[in-house]
Amino acid sequence: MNESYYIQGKKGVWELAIGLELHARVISNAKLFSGSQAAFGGDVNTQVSLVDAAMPGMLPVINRKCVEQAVRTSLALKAKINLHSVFERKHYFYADLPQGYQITQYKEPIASDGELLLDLPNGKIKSVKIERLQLEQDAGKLLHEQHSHATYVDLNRAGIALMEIVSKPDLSSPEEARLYVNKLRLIMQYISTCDGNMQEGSLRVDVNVSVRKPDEPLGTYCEIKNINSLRFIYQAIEQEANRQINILENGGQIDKETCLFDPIENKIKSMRSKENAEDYRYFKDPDLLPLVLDQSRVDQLKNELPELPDAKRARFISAFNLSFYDLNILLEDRANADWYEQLAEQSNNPKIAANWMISELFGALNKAGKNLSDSLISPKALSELVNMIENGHISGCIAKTVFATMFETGKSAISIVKEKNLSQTSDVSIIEDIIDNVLITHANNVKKYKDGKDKLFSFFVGETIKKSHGKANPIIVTQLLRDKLDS
Amino acid sequence: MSIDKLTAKTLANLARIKISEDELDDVVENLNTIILMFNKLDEVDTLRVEPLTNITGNFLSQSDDLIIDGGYQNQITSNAPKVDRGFFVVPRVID
Amino acid sequence: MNDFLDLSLAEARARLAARDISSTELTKAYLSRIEATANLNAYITITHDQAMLGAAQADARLAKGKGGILEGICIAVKDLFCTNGVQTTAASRMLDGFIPTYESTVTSNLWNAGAVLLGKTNLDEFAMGSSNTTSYYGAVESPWRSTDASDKKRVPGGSSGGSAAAVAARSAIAATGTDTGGSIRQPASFSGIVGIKPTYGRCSRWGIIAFASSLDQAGPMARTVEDAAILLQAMASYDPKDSTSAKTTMPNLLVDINKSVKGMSIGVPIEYRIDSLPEETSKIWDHGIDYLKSEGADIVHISLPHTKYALPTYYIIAPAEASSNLARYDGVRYGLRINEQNITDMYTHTRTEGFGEEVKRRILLGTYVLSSGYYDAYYLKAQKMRNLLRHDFNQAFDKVDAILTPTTLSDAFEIGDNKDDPLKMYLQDVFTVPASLVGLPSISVPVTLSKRGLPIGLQVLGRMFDENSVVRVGRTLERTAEFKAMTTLVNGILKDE
Repeated sequence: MNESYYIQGKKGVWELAIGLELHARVISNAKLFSGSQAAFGGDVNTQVSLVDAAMPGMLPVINRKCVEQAVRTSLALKAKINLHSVFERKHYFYADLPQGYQITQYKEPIASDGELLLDLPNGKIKSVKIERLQLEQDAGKLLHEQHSHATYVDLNRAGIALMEIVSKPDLSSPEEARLYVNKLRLIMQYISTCDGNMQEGSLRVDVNVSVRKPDEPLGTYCEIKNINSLRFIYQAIEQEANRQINILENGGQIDKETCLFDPIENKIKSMRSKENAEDYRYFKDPDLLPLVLDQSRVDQLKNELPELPDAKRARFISAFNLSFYDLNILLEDRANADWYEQLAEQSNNPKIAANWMISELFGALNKAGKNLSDSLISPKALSELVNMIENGHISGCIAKTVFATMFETGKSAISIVKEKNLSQTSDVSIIEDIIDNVLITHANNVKKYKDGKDKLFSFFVGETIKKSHGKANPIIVTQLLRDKLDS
Repeated sequence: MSIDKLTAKTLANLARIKISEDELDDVVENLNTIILMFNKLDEVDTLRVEPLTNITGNFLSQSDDLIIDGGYQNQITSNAPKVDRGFFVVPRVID
Repeated sequence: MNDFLDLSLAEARARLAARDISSTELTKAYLSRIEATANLNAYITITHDQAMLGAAQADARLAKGKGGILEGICIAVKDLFCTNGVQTTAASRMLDGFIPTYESTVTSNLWNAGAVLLGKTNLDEFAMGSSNTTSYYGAVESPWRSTDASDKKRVPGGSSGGSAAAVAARSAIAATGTDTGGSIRQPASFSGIVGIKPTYGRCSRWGIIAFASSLDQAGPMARTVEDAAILLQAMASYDPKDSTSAKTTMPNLLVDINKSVKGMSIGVPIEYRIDSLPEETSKIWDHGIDYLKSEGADIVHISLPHTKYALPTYYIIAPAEASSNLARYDGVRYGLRINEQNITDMYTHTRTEGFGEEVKRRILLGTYVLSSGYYDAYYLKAQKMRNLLRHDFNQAFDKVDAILTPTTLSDAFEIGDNKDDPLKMYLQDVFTVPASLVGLPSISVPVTLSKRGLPIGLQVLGRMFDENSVVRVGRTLERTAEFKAMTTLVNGILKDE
């Protein structure tokens, strides 16, 4: 990727300014303001309390866990924790919003002024400023498939805690936006505040896009709501930027509006026009007092945070000497990193071990449509296999066969090697016998080689190893062949 | 300040209430009588006064993260105008 | 039968405990009284069977020498408290037929104390009003008639008008009310009974249909100060389900209730002597001052300079919160639905048909003061005024232990008066809203009859959480004023028998 991302219009180049608003569903047992279950999957309207259904006279009570998850996330984003924050009501009518308002934070969010570092492919690090993090309620779910002219309402999701995390418009390309979402998701996974599953809606993204000519001030932005995959973020930004450039280059102007991205048509659709602009009538929720946090509790939560991705990356670089590519894959997911860490601890060569994990294990899992957590091979088992190669017990070639069996059966490398008698041999007399046989069988080629066809050397190596059923130590094979053919 | 018919209609729309054309004059007049009373507050300089939103002076108590509620679909839907298989049913919502 | 109806709550309690009377007898007497006074329209729902069953159970407990502080006492509940299995309407078409599957914390406390539910009383729709004429179930009629125009029906006050009328007409020993800007105290004053608005946070709001969350408080309505204190004691509790509920423990209000006010400082705010205060009310207030002086209290003239801004402040804040609290009535999950093809029309028609005129007016006002461009000028300004008002009271309470004011401008007006002039109706709350805005406890105690033979009360305000002083001063007023007037209707019925 270039240092800067530009879109070439008909009348020159355009830069993008992108801000992201992520809605991350908080991991907790109960909902933000009620005691009903947050993790969903239950029967329709069974994870709903009287409070969630906004029955007359019901009142919200805040869940400590949700508050602390927001604090932990904010700390991981190096944000300032506001020890005094306030909940407000945001009013609009919608069938999935039982109260007729969403309880959210507005003027005084729980945290502000954070930062997220992006590891750009060119090896540089880019800082993206985070404006605010606020706690708010999720809405229920509307189903339109049940009936041709009616909508069905399920409130199981209503009232689950969300963290809205708002970035400054610091991002300048779709790729940076993708990296940002990925990194934020990774951090939340590391500290277990959000599972980050975009398909299930645990993480939803609104994108603010504006375009400008280089060195000009920020343009008017449009908001694209509720994007639920990384691929769509990419497409939506490109589409929206091109739409805006097209308008501007034709002498038009951008109206601040809210849009939806239609992934099927790959098109941006306007949601609310200006004249229907909502007036949310925010005001402090009189049912809820100010949320006041104790600095010592915040400090405690900070001290209890696990190692975060940036710190882990730095440590992996210095301890394991990994490539940029390897690091990205291993740190992509906390499970990957934890798995690798166990693997590396027991491996003589952590860098080779990383190759095995990434190319062989991930390759096989991918092919089988499985996740790392489904793997029958444990980090310890893979480290044993890798160490056997390192120690010269088996050849790399044999190792691949052994790996395949390990992957299928979950057996250890040692037992497979024993069972199938696959130990590498370095016994010179055995190898010499095989070589002699090969040279006799291929006397023609020996002649050709001696006449100067050097390329045939590797043919003899291959044949010898083949005849040894892969067990002959290739270094010794090479040595002996040189002695016999070149002397 | 006072409101005109258009503002009254906008407010009504925001609140999902319909004011019919023949009520409109009365509604606007009544609202303006009351709003006129509000304007009395302009007499007071409140520039340096903090708004009072929390008369208790207390802060939010936080509950433990326990699943102690829900699980009663019947109670949730027992007063609903229209229910099908546990869902609330409403006229079609078009996104 | 009428012997039972004449018993105060305290007396009935003593006689029930002594097994002198039974809850079944008492409850039966009240149920027939409810029937006999049905024309007042004080009740929306009468829970006859439930009452008789509750009374029998109370008698069984009393027989074993057990029971709570209200064992066997039959009371009425304002139809704003959600009651499990019993229709709860807020006197709105919107909630006609709504049957909660839950019980409000306050009423739960009452049933746990052994009280028996007679029924749910009428009110102004969603507790918005000062006359109890905005109910979907029709206006409530006061049992009182003036001597000069005895054919004219009077309002019982509002919004807890049904509770006030029921207590005054002796169709309940006592009742619960709620007070947002005067909805307990004003009807108490109009109906010749006692009403207490406790400190904000004393009674849980959980399960009470919300009008204005930062102002709503439940409280007792009863015939005597002692009765009201007993009922309040049972209603109040810290409730973790209400984030604004106070953890401060309620002292036993009966301990000091009869203690003299000697040595107490009672403030009389000059700003309450407004131009529109009729001379009669002014004189009654003076009598109250004299009563307390004669009992040994120090009368201190105080200033509450921002008093005249309390009414506009209240009529910004209360509708703002109401417009938000009433957004949940959308025809989706409960209550009225007017069917339409699309959802927006469904919302609009449901809300237009479901809410009455006054409720809609306040929703529009509330929407206005919160809307973009007007928020700072109105809502924010009102919140600042609220702070100034609190400052006024804080200064005053540095000097005095309680404050004495009129509760209402005058005695009860006729049904239909002020109907077409909302502002005039709102002016009814001028003396009661300041305490609501600041959260202070206050009581209205009947002291005398007006020239027209209608009751008028005086109001006592106390410091936050000092219900003790409020009740003590209220009791002193009650004792010295010797208010013994019975409702004219009670006398009327006695004659008929």
